[in-house]
Parts: sequence; C-alpha cells; structure tokens
Amino acid sequence: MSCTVSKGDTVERRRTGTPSRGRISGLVCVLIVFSLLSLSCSSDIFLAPKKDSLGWVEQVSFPEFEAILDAKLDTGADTSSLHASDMKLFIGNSGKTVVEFRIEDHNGKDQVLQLPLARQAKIKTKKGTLQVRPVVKLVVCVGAQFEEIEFTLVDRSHFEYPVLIGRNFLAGKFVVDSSRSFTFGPSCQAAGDKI
Amino acid sequence: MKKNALWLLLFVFLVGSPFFAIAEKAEEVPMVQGRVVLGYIEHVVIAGDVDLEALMSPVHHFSELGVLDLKVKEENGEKYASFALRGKKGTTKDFKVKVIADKAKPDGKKQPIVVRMPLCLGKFQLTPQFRLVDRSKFEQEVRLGRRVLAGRAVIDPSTTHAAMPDCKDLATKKSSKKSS
Repeated sequence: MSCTVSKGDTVERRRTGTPSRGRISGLVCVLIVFSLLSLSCSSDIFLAPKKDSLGWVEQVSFPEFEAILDAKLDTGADTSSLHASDMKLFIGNSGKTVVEFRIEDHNGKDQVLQLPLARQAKIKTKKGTLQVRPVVKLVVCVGAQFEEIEFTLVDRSHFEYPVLIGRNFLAGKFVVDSSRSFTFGPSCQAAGDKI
Repeated sequence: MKKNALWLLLFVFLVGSPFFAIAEKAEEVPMVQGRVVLGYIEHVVIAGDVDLEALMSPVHHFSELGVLDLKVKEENGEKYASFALRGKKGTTKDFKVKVIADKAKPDGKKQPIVVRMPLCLGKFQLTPQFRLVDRSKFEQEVRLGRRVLAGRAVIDPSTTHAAMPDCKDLATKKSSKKSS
C-alpha cells in the first residue's frame, strides 16, 4: 500500500505491512546461529549439573569438633548415623533437651560432646525392626562439600565404620562408585570459616 | 502462498531444532567415568519375567532376594532351594534352584541360603549370587550390593528408576509371548 502527499509537499511513498528483505535476512541469520549454538551445547545447559563421584567408603570430617572419621556412603539409607557411646539425655540450662555422648576419631582420640537434641527418630534396622534413636545436627565435610545435616546417634561399635552418610547429605551432590574407596579426603576450607 | 509456507517451515525448523536436540540427548543413558548412572531404586527383572524393585546398596558386599516359603531339600547329594517370588503385579512364581552355599559360621550361626538367579538391570544381563532372605519388612524385594554394582554402574542418590530393564532375553520372551 502506498500513499502520496498532495502537491507542494514532500512526496513520500511509504510501503506499509511488508518488512524489508534485509530485515528478514537478518532474522534468519540470527535464528540459524542460535540453532547451531543450541544444537552443539544446549543439552549441557538444560540437563542436571554433573556430580562428583565418590567411593563407597571415604574419610569425612566434622569441623565443629575437629574429628576425621571413616564413613560408608550408603545410597540405600535415608538418613546418616554416627557411632556414639555413653549416651545420656538431660534438660539443659535453656530448658531444652541435650544429648551427651562420646565419639572416637580415626586416631583413637576420645571426645565428649553435648549437643541439643533435634528430635527422636524411628529407624528400621537390618532385621526390619524399629529402633528409637536420638538425632542431632552436625556439620559434616565430604569431599569438598559440607552441610549441616541430621545424624542419628547409635552404637556402631560392631560395625567396621563409625559413620554412615545417607541420602540426606549425598542427594544432589555426589554419585557413589562401588568399585572405589578413599578417593579423596575431606577438603572443606570454607566450612571452618562458616561455623 | 507457497513462499509463506516455506518461510513457516523454515521458522519451525530453526526454532524447534534445539528442543529436538535436547529431547534426543535426554534419551541417552547418563554415564560418569564410563559407568552407567543408576538411581538408588531401580526396576529389575528376575528369571526373565518376575518384575521387582531393587535398592542399590554399595555398602553391602552381597545381594539379597526376598523370597516366600523357602525350603531346602537334598537330591542326589545336591541341595536345592524351593521358594516363591511375588512380582510387582502381585502374582507369585515358584522356583527350584541349586544351592551354592549353606554353611554355618564358626560361631554356629547359620548363613543365609545362596543361589544364582538371572537378573536384568538396565541393559545388564547377569546371573549373580543372591542370599535368600525375608524382606517382607522392607519396601524393595531386592537389594543389590557391590558384587553386582562394582565396575558396572554408579549410583545417584537423588534419582530413582533411571534405567528400565532392557535385556535381550526380555525382548525375546516378550516377542514370543505376543506371537503366541
């Protein structure tokens, strides 16, 4: 469609409703470049980020009480557990329940800890029975990642490893390779600063 | 008219191609360091047609199979275990399998009965050893340990059902069932 201004004025002929060929070519070029870029690398952008691989047994650290312990990484367990002996529950000065327990690190060094009781948990044992265990929150470092998570306290003296790390820590961070163990030790320098 | 149709086709191709690429990539089996990535719970098929759920447990050396009505009998000097498996659909199937190990521990405690059973896990077709136990108090009838998983797969504890059973044996049985 074109329009013409009357005599004496600047004559303008405008074409409306149809974009120029230059603009269409430009749009097509942009789309081609975008498609080529997307085809080559889009899957990495949209899929879940890659996770580090750890062995089924690793050394982990508890920065709050400077202990390094051996831990099984159990993808079959919901929660994590920590070997504790001489467990006692009492009401602290704040009126809240406190758990006192003893742990031993990989050097055989004993420590007695007192922590607020987070809750009591019913855990299904390997025989299928339910056991009530106290739960505390601790910061644990596995590989280069740390997080405060819940640990059930239990007597694991008849087990080979004093710590069991379950899905409450592992999910979203690591995959577990059954053919490897002690792949790399705890290295969470930032964990000490944050506590 | 033809020109507009061509432009429309080109537009759809250029805009849609990244999404087709992602969909194609998503169907590929995820791998980490040359190992297949499995979820912490997977569908498995035992003995070709018993559908069960399995818990991946790399902290355990041995694998377990939850069975019903377990009995051990001796025939011609060999021990055989007879038992039933209840699949996900609720139907039970009976088995009679030669026992590999049935020994007492030095402390006198009896070890579980161990047999070999065909297993389909993702694309892996194996005949691993299973301890026959009562797993009625657990959610999964099967527990797979390191002897099955090591060297084959890594476990992603944030995923389940990452690899449906896809073994040649299964495909053959399904096609023969359909044709009959």
